[in-house]
Amino acid sequence: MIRLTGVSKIFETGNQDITAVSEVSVSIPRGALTLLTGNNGSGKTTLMLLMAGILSPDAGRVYLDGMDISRLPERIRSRIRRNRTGIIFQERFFIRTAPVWQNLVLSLIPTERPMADIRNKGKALLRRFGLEEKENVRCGRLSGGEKQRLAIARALINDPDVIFADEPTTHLDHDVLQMLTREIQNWKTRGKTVVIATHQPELLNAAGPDIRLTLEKGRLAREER
Amino acid sequence: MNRRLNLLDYAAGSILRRYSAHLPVAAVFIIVVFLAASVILTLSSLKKEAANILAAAPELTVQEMSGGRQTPIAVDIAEKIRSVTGVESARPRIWGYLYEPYAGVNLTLWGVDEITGEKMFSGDFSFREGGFYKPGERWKIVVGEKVPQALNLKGRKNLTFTDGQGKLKSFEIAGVFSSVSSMLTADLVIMPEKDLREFFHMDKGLATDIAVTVKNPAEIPMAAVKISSLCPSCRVISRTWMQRAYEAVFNFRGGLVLLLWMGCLVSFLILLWNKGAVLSGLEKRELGILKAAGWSFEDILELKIMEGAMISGASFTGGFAAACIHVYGFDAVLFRPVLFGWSVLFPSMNLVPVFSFGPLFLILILTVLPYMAVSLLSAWKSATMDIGELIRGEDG
Repeated sequence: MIRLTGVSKIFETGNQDITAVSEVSVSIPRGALTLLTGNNGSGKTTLMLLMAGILSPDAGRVYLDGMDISRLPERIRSRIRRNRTGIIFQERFFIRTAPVWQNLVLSLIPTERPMADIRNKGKALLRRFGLEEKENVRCGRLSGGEKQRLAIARALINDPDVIFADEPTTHLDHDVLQMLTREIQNWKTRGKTVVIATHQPELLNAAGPDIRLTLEKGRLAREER
Repeated sequence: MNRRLNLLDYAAGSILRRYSAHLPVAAVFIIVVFLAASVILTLSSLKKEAANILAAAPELTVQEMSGGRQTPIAVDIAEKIRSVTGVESARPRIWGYLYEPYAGVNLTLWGVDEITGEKMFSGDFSFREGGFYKPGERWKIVVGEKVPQALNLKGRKNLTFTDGQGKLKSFEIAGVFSSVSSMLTADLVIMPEKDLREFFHMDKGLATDIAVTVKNPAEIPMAAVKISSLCPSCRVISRTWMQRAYEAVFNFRGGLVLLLWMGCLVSFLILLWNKGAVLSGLEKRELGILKAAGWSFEDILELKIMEGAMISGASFTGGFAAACIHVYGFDAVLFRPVLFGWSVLFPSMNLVPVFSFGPLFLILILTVLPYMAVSLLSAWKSATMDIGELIRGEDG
């Protein structure tokens, strides 16, 4: 379960402070599919990154299964990111010069698993997402759709309990969108908590969202369950 | 253990991926190690050569001086020296230099009687071709193995030198020898004393110097003092003093070159500092991705240290290997004029490999340690960077 109480995040840009998220309190039960919606600049991505423990709030608390991750040292938060969460970033977040397989298994590298096991696990995921022939291709050479599939596969490499996705539908073709919808439904049936930041919520209706959180200027404007 | 291996694997891949970013620093690193290692290896070899030569030198050498210059010494003085307590033998020697203008090389001519010759060739010298000239044979010579090549003899056994009065003298090569010291085999021409005396136009009662051996090494300084008082116009040189003089000369030359090298080292350190102080956009992005994937501060620190160790280790090995090839394969061609001094006139000289760990350890400390320190600084900065800055991008 994810719980936020009075969470705010302020970014300093030059001599001006920008409040990206302001006093947001919300609870997301385990196994729920949540859509974070709102216009550009409304604070969706920031709120998602706060929930994922990547950003620390300036005020308020973020709890993951009752544990206050906002006050944990970075060392423990990184372990939570590696073992419990999977994050689908927008396509720019790849090491372009590294091969596909390495980008896929990044979170497993600093673990005690032997490299052969890691590569086998990576191969299985690449097969599942139709990328097995791209295993040794540099990431920079993938098409937009292939990168999006790889981003989804990468989020699943550690079999996470909670999956976060940042604008996963951007620039998706019809086939990949259908695949994403099927995947989300699959995650739901397996009891995984899914949080998706998107400005195109209608594209994910077929996945059957449980909660819709609409943000306006960093504040939680509407909560539909 | 697996975690370390996985990180090593990733570090190696990361270096290869960004080789163009690492190449300039690695190239400078290799050059810095190459320069210092070349100087140190060359000096070690030269000192070893000098030690080899001096090992065969007499304990004391007595020279006649006139107006501050060495002149031929009276052979009779050897008899007086033999009477000094502790002196084992005093032998007048005839030797000198000959510049061969056509080949542009400096040769050392040495007059050796048959008894001394036999002694020489039962020790460190051995014949590769032919043998020693027979007693009573005239105008026969034995030469070091590099001499025929330097004089471009192409298998010929006869050669001609011009004596001090401009007259040509023909010699026949009776044998070619090799020795543990290439300094000796590089320029040495041995002939009967009688012939060399005639070639140098030296009177019968004169010699170049007198070689003195002393029974007890502890008595060498006292013997030197006694000889000096016996012959006030003579200079008495001990083998130990010569050894110190050689070392001082080589150390002075090496010191000059290493002083210039310090400039290169400082430039290298500044380059390193600049590299470590600024992280490129690509590096920042990669670190952000790793952190988002759950890499901890320790993971990133370890990765960067491994990268630093791999780059510095490979560069040091590369620089040292290049220095070995330069010194032992190409006879330190870049430093020959500076470090060898007058001996560049030698026909050719192969430096013998001598490995001294101390100076190389110093180069390792001066190059690898700063590199690792800067890598650590860079890694620390990378590992402690705010992940939000790297990940957030455009806020949605």
